[in-house]
Amino acid sequence: MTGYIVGRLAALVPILVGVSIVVFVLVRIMPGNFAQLMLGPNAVPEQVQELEREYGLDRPLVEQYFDWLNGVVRGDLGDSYIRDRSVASELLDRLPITGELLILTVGVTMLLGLALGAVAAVNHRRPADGILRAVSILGMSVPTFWTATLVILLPSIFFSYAPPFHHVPFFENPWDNLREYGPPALVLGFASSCGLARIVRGALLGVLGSDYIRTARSKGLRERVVVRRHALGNAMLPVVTILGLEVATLMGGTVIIEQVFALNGLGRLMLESVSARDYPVIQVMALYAAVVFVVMCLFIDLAYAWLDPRVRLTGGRRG
Amino acid sequence: MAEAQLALEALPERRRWRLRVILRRHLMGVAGVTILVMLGLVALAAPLIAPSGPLAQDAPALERPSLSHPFGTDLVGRDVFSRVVHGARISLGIGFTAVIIGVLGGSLIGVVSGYFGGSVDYLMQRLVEVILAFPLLILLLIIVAAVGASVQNVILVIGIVMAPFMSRIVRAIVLAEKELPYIEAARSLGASDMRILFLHLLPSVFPLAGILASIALGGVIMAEAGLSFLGLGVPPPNPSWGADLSGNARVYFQHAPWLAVFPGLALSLTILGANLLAEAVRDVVDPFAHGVR
Repeated sequence: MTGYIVGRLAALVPILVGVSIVVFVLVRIMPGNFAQLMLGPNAVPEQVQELEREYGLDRPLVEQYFDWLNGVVRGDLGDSYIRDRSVASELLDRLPITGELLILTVGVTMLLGLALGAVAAVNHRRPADGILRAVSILGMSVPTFWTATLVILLPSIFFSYAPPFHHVPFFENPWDNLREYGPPALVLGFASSCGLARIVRGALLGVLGSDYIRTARSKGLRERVVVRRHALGNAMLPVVTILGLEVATLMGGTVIIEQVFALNGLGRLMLESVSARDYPVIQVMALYAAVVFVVMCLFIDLAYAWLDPRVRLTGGRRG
Repeated sequence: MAEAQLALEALPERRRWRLRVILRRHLMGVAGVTILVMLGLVALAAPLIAPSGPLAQDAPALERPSLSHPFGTDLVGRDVFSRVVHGARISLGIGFTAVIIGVLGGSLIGVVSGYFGGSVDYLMQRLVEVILAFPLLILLLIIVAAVGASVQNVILVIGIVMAPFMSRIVRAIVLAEKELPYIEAARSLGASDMRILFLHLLPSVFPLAGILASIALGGVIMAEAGLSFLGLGVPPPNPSWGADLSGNARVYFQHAPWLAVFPGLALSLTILGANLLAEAVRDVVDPFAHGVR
């Protein structure tokens, strides 16, 4: 097991190096480079060159890359160009915000997805199933940034209520904190639970048709017990896969939702640094996103082995 | 994407596509296609349907929906209805072309990688893995920012980013397909690699490519709208639904909710059409995905 994990983590290194090279090149071919953007349209070329020299942007790309890589390997993620601080401390400041949003969202996704999927599966071939299927397709079709806008818009028209737009840490005032994070988490969570519910339903229907469920039913167990105790556990395998991928996708989703709800998380940091051409921050953010994604895939595989003893973890690569 | 993979694994070897039977049996598919066709017609006939051009500022600003302006007007006096109608061109146009680019590119990568195997396959798959390691939207964001936001660039970037996802599935099919007797027969008759690739293998993945395209369409339209919403997609004066939902629509929504409501409705309807189509296609390809019927 340990050997397997180490092997998988080692396989990550070339991927992450690839990711960092791709991002490094992309970031530096962006039109409107950082120095020009910083000095504005009236800057004299000499000024631009001087600023580029100051930040080391005039050196060969390869040299810049290895400089950066050298820093990252030693734990120095560099300094932000537009903020007077290191990328690492900026990242650490924003992490709790996106972290809480993600945790709440995944909670909502799990609860809603499992509940809706199970209800649909139990009511197979009844109207409830059809209705839930329609709801889930609809839920997947409505863009989160639109639902988010409506979630802010409608209460403010009808009840003149506005969600709080300043950050309150959870442990200071849990209620205000949830008023801030609840709506975005519900919007994102509902959207992703629609996809999850369909997977849960399919998996549960597959399990409910198997022999051991017939045995459980024929020994007189109530349907509720059959579903909850016997079927749900075995239906979790495909669910884990989708949930893991969903978490990775949510990283993209938070960019949009943080923008709409004015949450100062990592998603917003990403957007701000892309607009300002803040190279060191974009660089690290992209790497961070890739690390989370790939590690998530590893977790999925480990969860498989844990949930289903028949799964043996061998070999190296998996897409 | 994982769903698509699951769906395709259950694909029978040779399934005849009788479109009529499929559509008659599948209410959702029919609904989805109807929605898409109607929106397609709206997009084609946009100048005839819309009372004014998408950029024409010929009305008072921020007017409520009325008979002359059914969806109201925006901050600079453009008719929102006209913009929404013209927006169908942007949304569907980008959606379809990006999907075609993605599926063609993906098929090409997949076929070449799967057919040649060895070091070609190894190199291509490592590259694909690098792309797959990014969350989609974040990758799109960085690339669009790098190449500059314009309609053509958005199409290209979404298409190119989709290709690696598609290639994985195509490659898996090709790996099985290339062992079949007809490929061996072609080779023993002296057919060149290029001939086998383009005349035999590529056509054999076309049905699959169609399936992939229909399943991906909704996501692609959503991606365009999301990028434009963030200000990194279709640039401002163009009538993109995603872009129209951000900016002024969110600043003035309390006074002018129609700015936020109508483009969002149009966008959701379009994606709903695409998703219904995808759902029907999945039902046909993989009857067990939703339990035994």
